[in-house]
Amino acid sequence: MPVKELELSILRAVADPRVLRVIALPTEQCNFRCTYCYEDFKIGRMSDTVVTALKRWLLSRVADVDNLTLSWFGGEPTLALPIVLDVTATARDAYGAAGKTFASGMTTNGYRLAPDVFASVVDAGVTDFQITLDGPAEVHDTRRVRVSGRGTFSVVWQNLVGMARAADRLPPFHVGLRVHYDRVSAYLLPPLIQQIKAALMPSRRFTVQFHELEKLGGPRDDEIDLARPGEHEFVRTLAHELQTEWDSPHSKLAVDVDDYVCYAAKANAFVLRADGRLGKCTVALSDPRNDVGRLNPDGTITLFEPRLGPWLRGIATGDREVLACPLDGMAGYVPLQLRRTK
Amino acid sequence: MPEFGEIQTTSVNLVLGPRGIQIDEKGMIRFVDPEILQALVSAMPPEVLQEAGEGNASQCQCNLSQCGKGGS
Repeated sequence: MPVKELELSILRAVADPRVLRVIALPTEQCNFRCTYCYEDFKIGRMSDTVVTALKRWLLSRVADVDNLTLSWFGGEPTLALPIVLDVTATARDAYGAAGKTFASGMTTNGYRLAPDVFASVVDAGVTDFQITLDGPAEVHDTRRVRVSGRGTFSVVWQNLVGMARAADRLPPFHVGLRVHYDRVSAYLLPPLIQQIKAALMPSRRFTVQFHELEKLGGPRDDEIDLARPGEHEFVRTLAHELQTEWDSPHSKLAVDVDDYVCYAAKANAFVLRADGRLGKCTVALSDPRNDVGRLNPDGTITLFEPRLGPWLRGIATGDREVLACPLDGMAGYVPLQLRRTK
Repeated sequence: MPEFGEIQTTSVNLVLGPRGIQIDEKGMIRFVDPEILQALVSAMPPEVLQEAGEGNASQCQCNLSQCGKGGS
């Protein structure tokens, strides 16, 4: 059967053998307790056995992978910084020596990324960051709080400014600011956006993505005041300002991104939990359907076919909705829209 | 390392529509029909994922994870 162009396009996005993406959780503990968080913080730091296995796995793929992306996630990955630095530098050196493409990113709350720490992370090879702000300080400090309940805006902002100032001294890096909004906070964003424009955008290292807050299964979901079309439209004007004033086409609303293909739908992407389990999704961490296998101490992986198959069904159908979120619509799954109506 | 207490496979064989893929113990994808890999390699370079975070975990756009990672 001849291979059609559309089929190749889908296969390239979801099952390209030349690509490997590992989203690793070096710890599932966090120094924050964001009011909308869905994680349970039951698992701690990666053991030495898992760290060694991860390095063995990545090194075993150097010969056949052209493009490795290593994404650090958590929990808060900076709480396990030695692991991040060690594994990233190991992979970067091996793939670089082989002439392969290596990229590494980190989803972090930014609290511990003071200038010297940030420089060490960038030097190790992590060059793409996502850091979230929930609005100006008075909003952020009520939602993105430390375990102690104290606010975090001033420290995170100070670190962001430090990153902007270090732009010319460090290897190239990118910070994706994730700005949250809901029905109320959307209208409180303009002062924050002005702050971002003045202090961060001139460095040319920052982009802004606006995400509505959603009910993702956290214990305080009922407190989330979901954004309506009016709020999206208001925030869209802020994004447009960033796009035009700073030539920043990637500054936009998540709801406006089309044709997204989730890593969970890809056969070449795996989530590595801190305890060595392999998963597909970074949200449904407590869902047993997400336990699709494990990383073995020798660096091989064991996959459980009946669990993995449903995640990859979009490869067969090319269904855009399934590729965007394979968990949504998986048998037995309650769609997010139904949960919203509760 | 956790144990699952369920039968594990070391090589996953997925028959997806008219095409089948196997994923081996290193996570390597193999197409059952070798013509597919040949066509893919000759037609398109591998996807680059790092540009502005497109496609990485932190930029997840799907319904479930608009948060991408609401916790961080």
